[in-house]
Amino acid sequence: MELTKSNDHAHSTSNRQYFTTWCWLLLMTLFALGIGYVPMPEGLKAVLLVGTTLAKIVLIGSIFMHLKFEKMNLVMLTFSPLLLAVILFFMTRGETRMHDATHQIISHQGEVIPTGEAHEK
Amino acid sequence: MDASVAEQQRILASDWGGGKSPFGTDWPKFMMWIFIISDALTFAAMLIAYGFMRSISPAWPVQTHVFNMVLITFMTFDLISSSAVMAMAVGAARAGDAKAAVKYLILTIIGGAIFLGCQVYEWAHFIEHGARLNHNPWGVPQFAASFFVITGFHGFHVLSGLTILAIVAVRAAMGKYSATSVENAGLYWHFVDVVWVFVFAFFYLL
Repeated sequence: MELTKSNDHAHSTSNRQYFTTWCWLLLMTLFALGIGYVPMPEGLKAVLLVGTTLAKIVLIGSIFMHLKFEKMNLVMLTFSPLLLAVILFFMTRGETRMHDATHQIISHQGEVIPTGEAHEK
Repeated sequence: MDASVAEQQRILASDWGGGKSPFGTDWPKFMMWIFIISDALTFAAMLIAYGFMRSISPAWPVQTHVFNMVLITFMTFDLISSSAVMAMAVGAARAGDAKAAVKYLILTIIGGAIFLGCQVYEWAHFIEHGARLNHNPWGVPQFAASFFVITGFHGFHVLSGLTILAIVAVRAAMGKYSATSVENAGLYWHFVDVVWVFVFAFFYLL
């Protein structure tokens, strides 16, 4: 089968748009790198990184993977893993008992690590 | 009788009435999306398991102190660039320009190979410092284990993608491939890039 021209003109995205998208992705990558280095509360860091990551995948999905030209039911199907991942994250988060004062962490030597030291880096 | 005929026609004209794809795409592309969705769930499970291990761990190494962040950032930039070039390859294939499509496919493969080379270097550097699957010099066994498993699984996907792209490029050069096939290979490659975006953010930065 030869490399035939596609008749689907609705999917046409110019190289200029790809280049613009690439520039935005590069900027967001540098922004995310900056977040990794700047000292800030962990919660704020997590929110900023999650937001930046979501923005990047929306750009890659809509422009590079042409999802913006696809039917909405397919778009929603492709985002289902993200939804399931969020559900799984919140289901397991409670098991970590991160903020439970009665939660004890025991070291390999059998010593109880005080809660205050438990989540330091 | 008229009502039932009208109802029948309404059903036949709907997305699920038969005779056309309810998702508005051909089956090879749709199957590639189904594969991408299933693989995304696998990576999601790995990253969430990593997050869980990290949350319950009493201490975790500071990634910016352990990893060469310049290298990691370059790897991210490289994969995003190869993804952009792959999109151009798909655009060229759709326009029927086989020569341009092959050129962009080769550039994509080069970008992917550079990424894989950097990943091998990073692994070698890590192993040289004493990191193994069950222990590492930073005190938390799960740190190295999660690094090797997550980046190794992703690297395996990159290698598979390079193989697929090489086959597509050769066949396109021979005039034996369709724009849809190039697009499907592109979808896989963009998925590999998306996964790395998550790994970069949640494993190396957070």
